[in-house]
Amino acid sequence: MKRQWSWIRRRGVLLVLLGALLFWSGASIRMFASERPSVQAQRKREAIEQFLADFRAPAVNAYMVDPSLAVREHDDFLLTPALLVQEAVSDGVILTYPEE
Amino acid sequence: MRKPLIARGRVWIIVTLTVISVTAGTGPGALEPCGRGTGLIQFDAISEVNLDWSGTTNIVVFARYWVCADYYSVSVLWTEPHGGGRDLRSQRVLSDETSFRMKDEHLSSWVPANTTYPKPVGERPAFRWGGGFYGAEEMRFAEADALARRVYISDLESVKDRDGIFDVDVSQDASGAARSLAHLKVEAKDNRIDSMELFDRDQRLLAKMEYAYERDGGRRRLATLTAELPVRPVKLGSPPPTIVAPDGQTTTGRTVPDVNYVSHKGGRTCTVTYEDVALGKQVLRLPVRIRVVRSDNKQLLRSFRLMNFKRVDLDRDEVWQAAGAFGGLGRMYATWEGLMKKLVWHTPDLGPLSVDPNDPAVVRRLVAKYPVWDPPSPGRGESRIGFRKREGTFPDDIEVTREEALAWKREGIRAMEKEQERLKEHHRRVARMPRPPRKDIEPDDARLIRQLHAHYKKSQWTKEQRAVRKPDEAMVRVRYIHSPRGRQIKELRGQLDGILRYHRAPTLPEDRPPEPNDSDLKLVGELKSHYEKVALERDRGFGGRLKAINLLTWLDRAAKDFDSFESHVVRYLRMLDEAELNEMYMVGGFRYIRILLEAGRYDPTSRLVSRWAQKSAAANSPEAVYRFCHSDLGGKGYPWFGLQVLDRLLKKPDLSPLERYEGLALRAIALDRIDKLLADWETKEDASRQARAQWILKNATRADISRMLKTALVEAVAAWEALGPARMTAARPYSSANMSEKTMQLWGYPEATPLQETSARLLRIMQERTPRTSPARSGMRR
Repeated sequence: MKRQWSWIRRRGVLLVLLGALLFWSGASIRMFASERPSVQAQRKREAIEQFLADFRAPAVNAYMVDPSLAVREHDDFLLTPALLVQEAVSDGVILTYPEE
Repeated sequence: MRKPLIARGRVWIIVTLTVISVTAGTGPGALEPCGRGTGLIQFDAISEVNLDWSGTTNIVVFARYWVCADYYSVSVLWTEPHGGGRDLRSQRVLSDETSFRMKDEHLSSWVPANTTYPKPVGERPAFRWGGGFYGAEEMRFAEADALARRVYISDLESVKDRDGIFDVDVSQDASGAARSLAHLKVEAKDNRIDSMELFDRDQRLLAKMEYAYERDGGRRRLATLTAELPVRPVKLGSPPPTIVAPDGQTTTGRTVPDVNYVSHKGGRTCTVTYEDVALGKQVLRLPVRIRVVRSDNKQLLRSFRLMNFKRVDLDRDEVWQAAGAFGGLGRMYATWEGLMKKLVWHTPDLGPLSVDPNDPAVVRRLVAKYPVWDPPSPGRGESRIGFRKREGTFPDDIEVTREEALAWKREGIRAMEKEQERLKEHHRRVARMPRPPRKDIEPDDARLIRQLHAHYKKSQWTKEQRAVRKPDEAMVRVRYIHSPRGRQIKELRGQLDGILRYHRAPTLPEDRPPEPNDSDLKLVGELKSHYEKVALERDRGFGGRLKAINLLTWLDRAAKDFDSFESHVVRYLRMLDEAELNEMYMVGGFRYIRILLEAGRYDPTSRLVSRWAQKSAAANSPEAVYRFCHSDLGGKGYPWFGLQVLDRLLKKPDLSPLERYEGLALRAIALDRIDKLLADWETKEDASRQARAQWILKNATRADISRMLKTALVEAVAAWEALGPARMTAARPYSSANMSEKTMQLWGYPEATPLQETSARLLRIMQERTPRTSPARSGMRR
């Protein structure tokens, strides 16, 4: 009786593992199969365009960006006291630091 | 019989208090730190911002806030120094659930800053600003980003009453608004959060919060919140230009794809200090100080002090009105501005043209009379070879594309090296060429040139092109195509520009502002009496009084009353000293004293500079003093000011070897600039330069300066040698000031630190001033 239970348990575990494997591979196949070649080509094209855009970035418009990004941080900082105090006077809000 | 009743009563009291405290979020069951609902609160705030590149280095903003759970309003009263940097005065904001409303009296015609933006405000567009410009109307996106990652107590139900580290997935509809926050990693103990990491849907870290608590009897209260904000990606966009043809027809130019870039370089560490604030009978734990430093080098970027908290009983409309009354320009401002336009910010009226501007012979005659040096162009080099030539032919495989791009990059580096050699040779050849002598332009010719220039500026575009309205949105490019006539006019303007640049143009009588008449002086008196009263009023806080002092100094300048100006500057310095705005004392004080100097008031200037330098050196950190000396203020344009502060700072005994070296190096650089200024001030038509030189010569002779410079160079190099290994790392002579971003990217050069730039400058001075065989010079070149 004991041996029979042990056999059933071993087979059961094996079946569960096999089922999980089949489910996972099926899901993966479905996922890959659902992407049409045209979509794949589009993604590839977008990746290449983004790569080339980034590659050319220093020549395009990054020269002057840093000062403006610094100003953005500083200007947006004007809202920080309001957002911090608003969290402190609002029920049910955990105190955090906002974006700026 | 009485005892059980009392006992039962006690139980009820305990139960009732527990229920009240838990529902109010203060009981043992509440997770900390958490907000507590209360009414509308008003407070004042002073922000100090350090913007090294802006030419101002330190900017102080004074604002008032009204905040409750449902909405908030901000009103900026004043920015000090006024005008030169990021001037946010009169900016007003009201944000509630439905809209983000902005109003700016000072820029009342600028539509983005005087608009009500409906909510939701949408996605933040790609960043399209450059050169230090940024439209404050984009603040609405910062608020939306902050709300999208707010954490609610309902997100942390699973953490309540448990100790340990927990991974929490955040539901997307807790706040009813779109959320960028997707996941939290929370470390909690005894219902207190010790740290919390915030992640977005791509498992990218948005921020890490650390909380420190202080004990008050049996209670623990939030003392500080420290947030680490990592370097974050940002998309750079370049909106397509609007092209306007000569017939007024518009088309849209080519769209350039957005590119990836990074914001918050070096990361940000933001520390918020909380304290108990009594509001009537209620005591709230509120933020009182905010400090933001760059994480990698601990450089202080900005801070806020929050004060004067009080509860107010206003509704939303009344808050908006109160914000307008607080930050508005005031009833006398228009009169003041009109007077300034007449007496100080004078626009010369050059009168009508006496020649036919359509006759090119007029310009030809002027060009013949004042020939300019037109150096030959270096021609087109080969620097553009590389990937630009191969644009549009990239392969479909990203790996092949990447390989090709790297090959282009290598090719680009080779081409750039070749091009630099070619340009150097061209410059050497040009330097040897003869050029026409520079002349003094006759006043009548100078007037005619300026009249023609202004006329051509107006008429280079067709009537149809001028009728095309520019978009309200800032930074949207509009490109006009010249008509054949417009192209001709552009050429004529270029020739006139060339004459004004190459030869010496005189100051015309029309350039000088008119002398104030009796009626002007009467108006000045009335305005001064009004603003003197405002300068004493306390209800608009310190910022309001500084604003009044600023307006008074302008009235002094209009009336040419420099004794009164001096007394206002003394008052200004005393106010900043009392408010412990020490960096602004140095930066703002310099800006005012400089006006006295340029007005030729040398004795009061020397008096004020002595006091100003003493206090600036004593109250400021070496970092703040060096930032001032590096800048266009005390370092480049007015080195005597920087020298005075450095002399006093270097007497401090507790400077580190690196700080001492940097101070000595900056001192030598300042003396070098003074020596060069004194060498040629008499030959240049620059009133400001002449005033600076004459004032310095009242304090020292040229021989004194030369002697001081020689000693200063020796001291600076000795301090550099004594640094040990740091002299070739932290203090290595290295400059990236003249390198473009592209060159740095191609060659992999890092950005130089201010100290490295200082060492590089010191080395250049050593190369200029010491013999080749000097041991100090060869030591620095190693």
